[in-house]
Amino acid sequence: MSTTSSMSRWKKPAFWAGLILGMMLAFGGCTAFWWVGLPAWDSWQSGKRANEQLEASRVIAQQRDYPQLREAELEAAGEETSAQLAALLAQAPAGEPNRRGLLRRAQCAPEGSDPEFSRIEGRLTWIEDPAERWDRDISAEQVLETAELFAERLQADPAWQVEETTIEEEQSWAARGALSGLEFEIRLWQGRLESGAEQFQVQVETPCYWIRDSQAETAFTPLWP
Amino acid sequence: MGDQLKQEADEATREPAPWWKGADFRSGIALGCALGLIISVLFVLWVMNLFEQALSPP
Repeated sequence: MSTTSSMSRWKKPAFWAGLILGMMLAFGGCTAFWWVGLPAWDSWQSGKRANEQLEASRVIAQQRDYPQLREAELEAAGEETSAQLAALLAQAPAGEPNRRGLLRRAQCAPEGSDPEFSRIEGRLTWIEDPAERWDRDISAEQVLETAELFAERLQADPAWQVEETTIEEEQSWAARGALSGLEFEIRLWQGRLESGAEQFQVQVETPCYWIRDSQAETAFTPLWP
Repeated sequence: MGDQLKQEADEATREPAPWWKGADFRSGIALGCALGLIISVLFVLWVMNLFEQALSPP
């Protein structure tokens, strides 16, 4: 009985009208999700990240109630992490997907704002094994020195090449190369944030580690043209 | 007996439901939505695969 009923449905115009309308609804829903939902989600996530960074910079400013200790800690940690990273860069074998160094949470502030915020900070996270993860703050100088170190090493390699692209208001430089069997990709962005602050980002990406995010408050002299 | 006759008479004179309220239309909508979702997902996967192939180094 039910088979006969479902068979006869295929002959009913109402069924076909429903089928076509249902497919149109599904296509429309998927298109809206793709073009509206996903960008909105992405934008919301970016805003959330920016707020988290701002909050982190406030925490740093609060911690500077003990400026001498903080400065010394930052300097020592920065030197140590840069040295470690450089050593690991030279030694790290290729093709270990779990090895990742992540330089992140660099902070900046628009010109004329609270001087406490005007210093760039960085945080280096090295994840060789998720169970042995560690985080350390490093200074702006260390961020840039590390990026420069990578750039120099890449420049020394004949496989190094520079690509320049202009994407809307942002300019980016990308360098690719190979060193000691490791694949590298360095990206440097300069752009202007919505707040008017100049943004500077450097990202080094390899199969073994990943460094990203640093921001500067003023126009920045790029490490390479 | 009279009630039954009256019920039959009511059913005979009742206007049929419009086509968009019928069970056939609803099952068409359900099947159309399911098919549309599956086709959309497959299409997105296909397009992403095309992009990946285009962006991957030779």
